[in-house]
Amino acid sequence: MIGRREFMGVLGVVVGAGAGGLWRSVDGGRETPHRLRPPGALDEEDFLAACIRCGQCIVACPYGTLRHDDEGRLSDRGTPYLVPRETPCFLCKDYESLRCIEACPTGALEDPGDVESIHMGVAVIDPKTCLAFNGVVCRACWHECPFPNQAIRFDSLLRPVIVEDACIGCGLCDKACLAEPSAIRIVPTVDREGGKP
Amino acid sequence: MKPPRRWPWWTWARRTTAAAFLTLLVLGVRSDYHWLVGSTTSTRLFGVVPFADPLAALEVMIASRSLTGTLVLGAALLMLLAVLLGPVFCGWVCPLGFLLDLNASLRRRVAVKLVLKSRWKMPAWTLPRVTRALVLGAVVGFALVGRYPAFQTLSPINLVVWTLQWGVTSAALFLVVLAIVEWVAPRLWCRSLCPLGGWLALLGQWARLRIGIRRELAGRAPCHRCTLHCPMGIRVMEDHSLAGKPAVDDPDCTRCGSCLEVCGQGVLHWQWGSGPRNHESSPDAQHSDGNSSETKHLSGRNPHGDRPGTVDVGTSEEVAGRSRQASRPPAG
Repeated sequence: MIGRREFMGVLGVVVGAGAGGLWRSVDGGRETPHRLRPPGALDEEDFLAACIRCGQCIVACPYGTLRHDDEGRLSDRGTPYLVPRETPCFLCKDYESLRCIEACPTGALEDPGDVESIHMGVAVIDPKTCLAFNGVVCRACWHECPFPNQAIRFDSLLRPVIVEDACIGCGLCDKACLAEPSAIRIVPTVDREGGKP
Repeated sequence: MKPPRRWPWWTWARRTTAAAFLTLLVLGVRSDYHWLVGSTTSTRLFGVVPFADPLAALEVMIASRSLTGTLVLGAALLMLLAVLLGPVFCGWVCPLGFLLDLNASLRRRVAVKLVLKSRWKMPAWTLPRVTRALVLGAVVGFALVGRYPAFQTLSPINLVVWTLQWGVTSAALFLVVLAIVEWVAPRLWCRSLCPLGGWLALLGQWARLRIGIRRELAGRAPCHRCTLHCPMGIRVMEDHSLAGKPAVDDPDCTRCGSCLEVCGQGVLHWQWGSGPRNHESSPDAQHSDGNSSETKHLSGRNPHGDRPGTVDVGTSEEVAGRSRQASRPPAG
């Protein structure tokens, strides 16, 4: 004999699973730019599943880099992200460990071992607005890059070139860029793998 | 008999814990006092002791198909609390419950005036309490297939905290709508919709802490003031099928003590421990020491408390204003 509560519970699981499937089919096809996630974040889909939306990483960040998502897509609400042009990720250079990863209770942010293994995204330079591409000698991005000569190099015409395998997407170059608006855009890893530039 | 004007100690205590929880959560973000950092979903006390909302943890575990020690430990602590004490989170800690409590007392005051002056009754719509099981199931099902903890982005409990922590405008608007709905359908959220409450009630159905009933003091015609004041719509004097020690046996009881607060007869009391549940035994076996005709009348009803909580909350004044309705047991 199954009670009303149990019946409603099972019915709820079926309804919820249906809604979940519908959500995924609708949401998966939508082309919205994704948020740039904190260092150590799992792949976007796994990150959204594992993030418990508690905001502990946001409070833990000593530089005030991380933001609380208040108006994004429904599945993004409450998750942490950063806008590197305003506050980039300093990779906790003044601390022994990455504070946000340490704070995460669910493993949505996972310790990558060393800073070089972080893959938040990749910087993309817009040659139309980059000063160095337009005849000005400028090395602002290179100066700020935590991996100069590895992640940002210069070609024979002294124009900056991003080495995609070495760039971790911290956004320090985006913040440093003298062009207005910035000639550098950090493309989150998920958007790159989705076939976008 | 008038209800006492002053709050008894447990009302003070539960209002204090709820207010302190909310205050510390907001201070954790807005100030340098990082005593309790996080949201209702997951927090750390003094940066060390982890807590995780058992439903949020369940959703995350299902959605991500993985476990972490911190999450399991944090959820286990609160689940143990629910198993021992019942869904005390709802009555004693929940920030939304706290605010809806205040909203409800305001509503009650207005309702009293309306009833006394114009004989116009406040509407009190409701949904059956089993709806909570449906919502709980849906949340779990969504996590399984939709692969993200949907309730945590929609939960008004979370939204209260987020609004105060981060100033989220859309969340604030949603909460205003919820508060307005509560005026026509009192405690609709807590009683019939909140999946966290449903999950905690499920865990706490064999809890040791109970509201005990001294049936011999109640007399033949209970005044049912306790039932009228129960925020969960539990028919207090009827839901007590525990053997040996009669106690409120509704899993949804949040142990808020509202019924004790208004009971002028000393019938209700805090009780620790109880005999085994005997729902399945015959009605005559229960309360064999009590008045047999009364026992039969009461235990003939479904003790699971699945019925809609149709009873409107009201003060004694409101009850007096509707004395004909109050004098009989408030059945739907």
